[in-house]
Amino acid sequence: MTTQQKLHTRDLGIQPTNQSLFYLHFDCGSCNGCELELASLTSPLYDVERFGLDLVVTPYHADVIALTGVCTPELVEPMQRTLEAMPDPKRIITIGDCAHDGGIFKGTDCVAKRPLAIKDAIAAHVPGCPPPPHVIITALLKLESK
Amino acid sequence: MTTDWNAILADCQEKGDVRYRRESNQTHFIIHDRDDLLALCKSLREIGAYLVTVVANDERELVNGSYKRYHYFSHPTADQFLILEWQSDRADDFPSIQKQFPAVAAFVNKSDAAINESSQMMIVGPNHAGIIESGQFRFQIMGEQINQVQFRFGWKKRNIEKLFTTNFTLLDGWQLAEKVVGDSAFAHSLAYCRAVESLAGVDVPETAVYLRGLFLELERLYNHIRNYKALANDVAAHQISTELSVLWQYLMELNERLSGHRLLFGVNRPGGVTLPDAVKNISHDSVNRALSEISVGRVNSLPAFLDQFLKFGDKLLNSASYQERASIGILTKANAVRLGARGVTARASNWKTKEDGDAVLIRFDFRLNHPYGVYKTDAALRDKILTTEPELPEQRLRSHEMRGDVYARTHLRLLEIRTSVAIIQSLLTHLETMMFDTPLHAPVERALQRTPNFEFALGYAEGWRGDVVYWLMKDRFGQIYRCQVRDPSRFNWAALKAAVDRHQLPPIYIKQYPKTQNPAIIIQPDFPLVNQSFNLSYAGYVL
Ligand code: SF4
Repeated sequence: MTTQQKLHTRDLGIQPTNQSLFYLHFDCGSCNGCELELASLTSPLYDVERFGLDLVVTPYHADVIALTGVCTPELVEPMQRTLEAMPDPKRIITIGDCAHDGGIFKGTDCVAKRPLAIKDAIAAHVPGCPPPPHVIITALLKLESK
Repeated sequence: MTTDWNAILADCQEKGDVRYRRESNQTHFIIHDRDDLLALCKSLREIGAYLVTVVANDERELVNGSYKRYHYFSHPTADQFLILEWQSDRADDFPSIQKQFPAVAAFVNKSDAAINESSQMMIVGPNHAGIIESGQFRFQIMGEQINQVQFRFGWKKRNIEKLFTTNFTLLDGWQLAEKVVGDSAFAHSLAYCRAVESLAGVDVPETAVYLRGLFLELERLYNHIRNYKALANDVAAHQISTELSVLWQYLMELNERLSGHRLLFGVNRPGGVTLPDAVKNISHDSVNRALSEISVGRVNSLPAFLDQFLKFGDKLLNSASYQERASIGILTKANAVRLGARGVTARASNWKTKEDGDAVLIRFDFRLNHPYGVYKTDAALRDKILTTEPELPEQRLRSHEMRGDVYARTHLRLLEIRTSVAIIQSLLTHLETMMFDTPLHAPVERALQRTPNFEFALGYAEGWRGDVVYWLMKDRFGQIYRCQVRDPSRFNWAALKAAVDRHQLPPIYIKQYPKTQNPAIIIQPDFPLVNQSFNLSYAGYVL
């Protein structure tokens, strides 16, 4: 399957919506693999803007935070503050195995205990290490049509 | 140069004790006297040797154990590593070699001196605008001009080196190695696997050697194109950046078809490589077919891919607008050598200056300095890499001192992309005749059991950022006692600082230009472009 085929909304089983979703990226201690795949979204092959998905650069404009990485203890506070700056409803989508439960870092001390505010905000998870772009897009679109 | 190097080896023999050597290109001495160590470092510095890595290790539980520090040195013209070992009963009792090798400061987790509080500060981070890793930049600014910049990266610490020893065995440590820096996953796992193979003393099957060479170049290719795309984006050359991001995605899909993973995860194993079952062979034919399928007939072969890239790559380099904007962020050759810069960063600062005369250029490329794998067996490949080192075409130079700037790094990436494609082509020709049904990896488990406990080995590979070095020590249960990871970014962040800080400007600029028009002074909005041209890893620095 080529990329173009993968991304026919028909094949994704998703109805195009007339809504839009602005996502902000927050790195919580990743290896840069997930960032790389997130950055692929804006390439013309995927062209997420046609779905109403748009990358924003400040939490004040964000509908959802795309969280990557294991959530290290040092980054919990900046993460919380970013979340506070976001308008309601606050939503997080965790991208990659690391962001879910630590992946291969699971149970080690670099994976911090997440405060309730962050835990409650997690609305979806995209599995994979790193998840390929079309999987991320599918997840974002599901969130958009919710 | 080799004579000087040999003289130092003889000197070491006099001053220290030789230890068992694991590889023929590594010589190991224990030095007992503080002054001897410093004197040796001084003479190493004088002949132009560079620091490869420094490993501090707590070996108190060994027989006659103590704290130890291993200094690895090498020379650009000799395929040799010199290991100077220092032992002490106290953890803090180590002679500092910072005076001889300032690059060693990169290993010390100490934040730089606080910036004068009375000046204007601008703090950016840890979260950035865009899809970037977390880290903090602290700019001391005067109006718009940057006086000085500091980096704070501790946010991302994942305790990688500790994890190697607690959660992984020698045989499955590759899983963690490729997650240290995701975009250099192949280089990292290759360096790790080579360290294990060196410990076990096994040879890798020939097909696997060639496959490793192929994937390493594929990784270099996609990352350089990605970087190029981001640079074009930073100067608002949107057409170029859009076209290049399509080409980048083609490569990612090509990776997936050849190795089963878009970022080449899970390919390397100690002893060789594994490929997905669906991949029966890799040849010109299969690569070309995959490319034309992925691009729906737009590019039908690798040379066509290269042409497509060069069309836009050259367009960026030749545009007057880019030449104007990219003349900033100058890393002088002296600074690059002093700070031990690696990879493209170092090579781009390596233009011949008038003062150099006929002197040999210093090379920072492990593919040439310490040939391994395909680069060792195939001299033609080394020649290809050698010809990458360009004389900057005269017409592109507005004045002869313009080198080591953003433009030079961009240009070098273009040349490296061209070389990478040539290398991949020749590797594919070799792979065409090779067997894929034989096992692609040699068994290492048995051989590892025979390795004496507390042996250590070095593994290295030239990734797209520079040389990745792994230092591995086996413990008494056959597991990992210590694994030290040295990503090229460890040294290169200091190089970026040197390219931005005002007091480290090349002196010639200070004399030549009035303050307001100085092209070497960086204003705050310039910083992203300079940062992007270095394209360093945050995760590889804090580990
Ligand atoms: S999930 Fe995988 S690719 Fe993503 S940050 Fe973690 S290790 Fe890296």
